[in-house]
Formats: sequence, C-alpha cells, structure tokens
Amino acid sequence: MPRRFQNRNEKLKKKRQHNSIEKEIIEYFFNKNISELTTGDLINGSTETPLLKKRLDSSGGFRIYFLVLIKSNNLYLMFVHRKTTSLGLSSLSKEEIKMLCKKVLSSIELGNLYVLTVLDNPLIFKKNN
Amino acid sequence: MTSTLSTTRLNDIVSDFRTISYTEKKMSYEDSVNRFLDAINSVKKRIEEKVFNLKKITAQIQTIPWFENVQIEELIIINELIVLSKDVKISLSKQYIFLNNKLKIKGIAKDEIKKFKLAIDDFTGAYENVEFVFFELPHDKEFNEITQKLANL
Repeated sequence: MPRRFQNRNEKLKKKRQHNSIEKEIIEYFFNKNISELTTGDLINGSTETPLLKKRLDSSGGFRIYFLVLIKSNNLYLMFVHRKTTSLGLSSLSKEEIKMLCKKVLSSIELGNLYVLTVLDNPLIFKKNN
Repeated sequence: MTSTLSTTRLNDIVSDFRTISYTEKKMSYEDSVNRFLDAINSVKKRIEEKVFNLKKITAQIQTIPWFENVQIEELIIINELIVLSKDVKISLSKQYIFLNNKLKIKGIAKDEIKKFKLAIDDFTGAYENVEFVFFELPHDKEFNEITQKLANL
C-alpha cells in the first residue's frame, strides 16, 4: 500500500465519527480469498488487474479504492474516503483515479510500499523492504 | 328541593360520563398512537424492501464491467440499461427527497432513509461506472496504458 493510504487512514481515524475505519478494513480485507474481494465497481475494465471501488457495507459509509494483481496474488489499498462529513468526498473523479493509479504504479516499481498486518485489532503499517 | 334533586341527577350523569370520558379518551389516544406507529413501521418496511431490491440490482450491474469481448449488439443493450438506470435514478431521487423532507427531518425512519440514500448512491455509482468502462475508457489512452503497465508488473 502506498504511503498516501496510510496518511489518509490516520487522518480519518482521528475523527470520532471515523474511528471505525480500521475495524471495517480488517473485517472486509482479511481472511478472504481473491474472489471474495473482487466485488464492487470495476473501474478499469481489467479482469487481470482489477481496480475496484467498494463501499464497506457498514454504518461508516467508507468508500475504498484498491487494486488487485491477480497473477501475483497481491492487493494494494489505494485510497479511502467517506461520502459525508468534513473528511468526506462525493467520489473521486476519473482524473483523480488516473493520478492515483500512476502513484500506485510508481510506488510498486520503486518498492515504496507499506505492508499491512493485523495485531490484536489495530492495523500495523510496516515499510516494505 | 328541586335544586337538590337536579344536583343529584346531574352528579349521577357526570359520574357515568366520567368513566366513559376517561375510557374513551385513553382508548382513542392509544389507538391513534398505535395507528401512527403501525404507519411508521409500514413505511420503514417499505423503505427496507426498496433498499434490498436496489442492492440486488446494483450487484447485478456491478458484474457487467467484468464481461469480456463485448460485441456491438451487447453494447446496445448495455446502453439501454444505462438509459433505464438514469430514469430509475430520477424516480428514486424524488422519493428520497420526499422521505427526507416529510419524515427524516422529523426524526422518523432516519436510519432507513439514510440507508436508502446510500443504496441510491451505490446504484448510481454502479451504472455510471458501466458507462465509463464501455463508452469512455476505450478512448482513454492514458488510463489504458497505466492499466497495461500494472498488468506487466
């Protein structure tokens, strides 16, 4: 996951009404296989490298953008926002999504990523070496 | 003497009425509250049904961008589906505005109406995305190049 996602997660977490973000990410993304995770809006039309937008089905109303590289079995969390409230956005524009894809591509190429693990509930962001 | 008799009879009549008045008032209050609560529950149930159906068609629409080798005949059907979806969205938005203005601002069925709004947003996002994938993305050279580079990693 690129640093941008970590920053965004930290920002959202600080807001009281957003503090369920970690729990929702853990519940949706962990202990699932790829086919369970490839649901939502397929934005780039690619079944090999699906870029997806998903609303986490809970009271938080978080929208999360993520990329799956099927052949390497990797999932990259890209961006998260909430539809309403002060840190909310209606939706990312296609230009913003393109910028995000470029950032993710560059982060993967440079190895500038964070690996996400779960330790007794909080998410642990560890720099990928 | 006449006056005392009248007073006694009046008191008897009032006594009878007192019971009837209390019972009727209490019953009619309870009845109206019950009817009101039944109406609220009925509205909540109908909104929940709408949300359920919307989620179902949204999930179906979200499968469309996964179709591969889509032919022109299929694109025509997809286009028709998008037009119909836009039509549905207008009706749903009007319903939401009505529910929001008449009920939600009074604190009635707040959660259900909020979920209805989220379901409309998801439905809208889904068909807009279908439109993007089949009618805009094929012409977006830059986006396709980025996707190709990601596929080559």
